[in-house]
Amino acid sequence: MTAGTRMAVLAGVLALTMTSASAQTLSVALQDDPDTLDPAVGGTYSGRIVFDALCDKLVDINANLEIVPQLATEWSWNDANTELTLTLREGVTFHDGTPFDAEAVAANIERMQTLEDSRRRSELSPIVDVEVVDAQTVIFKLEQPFAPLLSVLTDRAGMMVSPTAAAEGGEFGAAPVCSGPYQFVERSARDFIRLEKFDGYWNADEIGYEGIEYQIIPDSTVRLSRLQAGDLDVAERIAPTDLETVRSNAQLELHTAPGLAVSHLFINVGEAGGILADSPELREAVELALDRNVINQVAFNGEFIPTNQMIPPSSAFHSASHPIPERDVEAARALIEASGVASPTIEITYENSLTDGRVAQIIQSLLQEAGFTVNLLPLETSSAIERYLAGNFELYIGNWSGRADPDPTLYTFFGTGGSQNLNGYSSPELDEVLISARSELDLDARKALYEEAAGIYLNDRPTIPLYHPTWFYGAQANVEGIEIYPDGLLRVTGLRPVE
Amino acid sequence: MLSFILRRLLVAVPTLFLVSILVFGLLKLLPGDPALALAGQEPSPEIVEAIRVKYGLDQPVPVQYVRWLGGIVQGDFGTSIRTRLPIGETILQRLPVTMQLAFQAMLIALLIGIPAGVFAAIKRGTPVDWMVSTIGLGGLSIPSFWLGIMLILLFAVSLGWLPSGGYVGFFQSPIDNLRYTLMPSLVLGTAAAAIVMRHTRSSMIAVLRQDYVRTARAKGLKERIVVTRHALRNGLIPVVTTSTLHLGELLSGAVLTEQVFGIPGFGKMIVDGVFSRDYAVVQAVVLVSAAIFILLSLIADIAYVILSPRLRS
Amino acid sequence: MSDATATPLAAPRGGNRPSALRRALGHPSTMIGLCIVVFFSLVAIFAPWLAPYDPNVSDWLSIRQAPSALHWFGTDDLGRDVLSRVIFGARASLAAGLIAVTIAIALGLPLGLIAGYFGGVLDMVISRFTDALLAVPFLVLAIALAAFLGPSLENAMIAIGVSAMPIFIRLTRGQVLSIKNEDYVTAVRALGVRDRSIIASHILPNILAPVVVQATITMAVAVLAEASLAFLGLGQRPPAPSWGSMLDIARQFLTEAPWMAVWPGLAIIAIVLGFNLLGDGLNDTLNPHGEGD
Repeated sequence: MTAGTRMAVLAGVLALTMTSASAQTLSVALQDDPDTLDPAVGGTYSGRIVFDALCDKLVDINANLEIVPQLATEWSWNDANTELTLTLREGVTFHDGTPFDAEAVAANIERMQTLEDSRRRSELSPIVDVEVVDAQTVIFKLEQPFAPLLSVLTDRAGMMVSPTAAAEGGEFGAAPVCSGPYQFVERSARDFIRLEKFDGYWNADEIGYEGIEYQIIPDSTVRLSRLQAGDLDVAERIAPTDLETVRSNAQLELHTAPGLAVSHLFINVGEAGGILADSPELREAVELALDRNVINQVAFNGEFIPTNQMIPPSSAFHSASHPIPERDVEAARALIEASGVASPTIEITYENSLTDGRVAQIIQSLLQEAGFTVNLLPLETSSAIERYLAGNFELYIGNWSGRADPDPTLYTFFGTGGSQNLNGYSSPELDEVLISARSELDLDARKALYEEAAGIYLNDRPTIPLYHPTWFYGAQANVEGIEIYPDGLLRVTGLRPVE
Repeated sequence: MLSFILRRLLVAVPTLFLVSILVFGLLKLLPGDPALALAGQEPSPEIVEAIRVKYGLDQPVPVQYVRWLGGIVQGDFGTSIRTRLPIGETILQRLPVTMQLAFQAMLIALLIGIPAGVFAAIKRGTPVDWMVSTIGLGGLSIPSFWLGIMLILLFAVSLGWLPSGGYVGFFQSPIDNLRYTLMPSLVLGTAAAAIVMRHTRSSMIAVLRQDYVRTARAKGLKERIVVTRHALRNGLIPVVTTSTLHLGELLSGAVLTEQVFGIPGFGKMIVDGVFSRDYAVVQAVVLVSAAIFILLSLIADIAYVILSPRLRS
Repeated sequence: MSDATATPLAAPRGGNRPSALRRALGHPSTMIGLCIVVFFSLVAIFAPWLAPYDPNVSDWLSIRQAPSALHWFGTDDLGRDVLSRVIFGARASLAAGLIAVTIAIALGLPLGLIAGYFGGVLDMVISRFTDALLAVPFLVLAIALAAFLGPSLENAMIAIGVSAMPIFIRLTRGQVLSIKNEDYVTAVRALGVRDRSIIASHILPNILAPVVVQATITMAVAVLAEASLAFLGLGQRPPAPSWGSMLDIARQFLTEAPWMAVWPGLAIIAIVLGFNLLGDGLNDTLNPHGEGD
């Protein structure tokens, strides 16, 4: 116990010294605690927010989801679209002083492709070889054309960590070393993550705060009240019911962006599926019995975007020719009649959260009006995931964070063998379209292919998309430069306090 | 005295050892695979398998247990599978927060509970006694999370006097620290006050029947003096010991209270660990809370021996 | 109130059966507690007749409406009648309490009997095991069990029952030890009567009173625990109402719809207070070791 008290005193002294941090620290409230802060392993949205400050990527996106330079200043494809040549930014160093160069890029790609528990392996699998041409030039070699590659590099797969720190072994995520505008100071699980400005940052002029403290505050009411009290500068995911409070407060500003994410009612069409699996009529009846506007109004105060597609309207690849079908209970009843199933009973499985619980109960009510009997099966996280991965569900409320490029959404869910294709769906016709879209680098030609893809999956209904969440950040009015992109991250470059 | 303490400690060790087996075994027996919960927001089968291998979850259970216990004995509580941070350090950060809440709550409980208990004991058998006792039972019957919500509704939402949740360290700002811990301490203190009141009442009733109190009364001393000078001193001995024990119960109460107020304490660590299936965290936290409970009951016993003159002689 | 309730309570007192019953009911705490418990039991049983609306049916046009003549307790976030949900919530609460306590007694009583009556190695194993379980805070154990079993009312009952079990082991063991060595038991034993019949006819009837008192108090604890688990999302599955889960949802709408938080909480307090009063009253009158008059 004496060792314990000594540590406690030490912790206290540490806390005491922390008070000297200047007012130029940006305090940001996150809803969830990120998992490990290793870009090769991380798998949470809140983790990506922290990574924006901590780890630069090879390339980034802008508000229109176009690829823009970050650590790579230029890039070009060869004629066969199988070699991507990147020109790297000069004068960049990692937080530990290790220079950032082509060797570092090669080491990073290798690390993410080989690390035991890497989550980037499949994202980077199209790269079969990395050639270091000179210190500032690197070539990624592919077996066959893969148009989404640059888009993949705008997320964690494109984040470069210090090869020196990574080679040291131990838990990299416990003290990450990257090349972003801020460097890691300390972290307390489910409490806070502290970063301080990295003086050697290549774009240091654009960094307006001396440090960032991310505080983990799961309760949206608490996030809002601490924002109102001035304890916080920025709070993510303001609850839709609280938006009015932020809008009407002159001290605060609301920053929003339509999101890439999608929540959908995933239908098992495989062998483990229920009555919906064999009956296109019943699947259509489910869609017609739904009222996406009611879901949006009741669960989200009308602040999200109702949808019938996996790709949001903010993306260039959204299909405008497939509008949301109107609710038609009579038509749904007629379809149930036509299906020959008397009093159809279906079960919705979902991960036990308040949002999904509410959505599930609304769906249950709506479908019952059309003659379905709906059972709800909320499960705690690991059981829900277990069933999801095993394809052991009739309907599952899926929450997909979305990607800037349509391929990682559409292929993983609908492509035969896609990593999220867990509902037994397979369409050779759709596979062909999606694969040809991968090798098509021309924007208009790609759009046409995804238009075709939308026509196929919306007709087959392996899933029924429900809504796209909108990102809501509340911030003090004196934090200048906040711009939220559809990926929902708080980009710290360009933020500064105004007097 | 020393041999008494040593004897008690010797009993504590096998109990803790049993707790460790129980906790570990129970978590392994129950359904649910931590690798699945750790697979993140967009899981895939390959990632799940990789996590299983990396954390030795593919090893036989006894092997996992021996590894874990070996670590604990050396003071290594392991690494959180979710955040990859050392659990021991996290516990050391969280425990002081909850201890502060518990002590503040106990202070509130003693300030309310002892006078109320003494009062009820003096008025024993009257409607006043029954009223006080029933209010005490009411305090025991309020769900802490509901009381928390009501206090937030009143003091944070309606009046705006106190923050609705969160935490600021004492060394960062003592005043803010008090503002953030006041409501949670009140919530915890309510149930504790009821318990202190009940113990004080029954202990005082017993003492007031004792011969020496009767003698004091017979000597014509004023009732107030009899109660405060003579009865109270002895009547409070069991209250002190049960209050010490109750500090351990407050740990249990802190679980929900910290959840409601979003306080990063030990109680919330338990809930977070359970919900994210961070087995290593759950095991460590349950073991530590059992150790705290055992330690507190040891302290309570020692306090009783020291305070009680009859036993000392 | 009826003889059916009172007789088993009074049985262990042997000769003075009627006076024990009268004394128990004469205690104001017992009476008030019993009334509250009976009231909620009736509410739970007759819920479909008492509730003005179907507790699970949403009215999309009246979401989060303040209490009014149409909806006395207001409506919730999905436009459901809060009064009807509070009425139906009594079912989850009482069922959880009853079944959890039954599980705790069904497991704890035999173990305590074995440990106390037979002693020896069995006693040592069971007692150590009980010590270990009791060292883990009750709610912590219940939360961990419920979470790992998965969210449902049945699992919450099991989790609470198992967590409350060690109290009954310890209580039963202590009682058995004190009775085992009383003269008449030793005498019957010397006559060569079998253990089973000694336990059934001499030990069990005599430990019933403290077990009943403890069971009543544990009901209060179990109902509170069920509410706590439901509050954490570990109880009754939606859409069926439970007071704890109603509070969990209400917490998000404190500014917009504070009434959602008030009524389920008051219901929990009332029913828990009922069991506590009943337990207290019974303890005062029935428990031979209590400090009754």
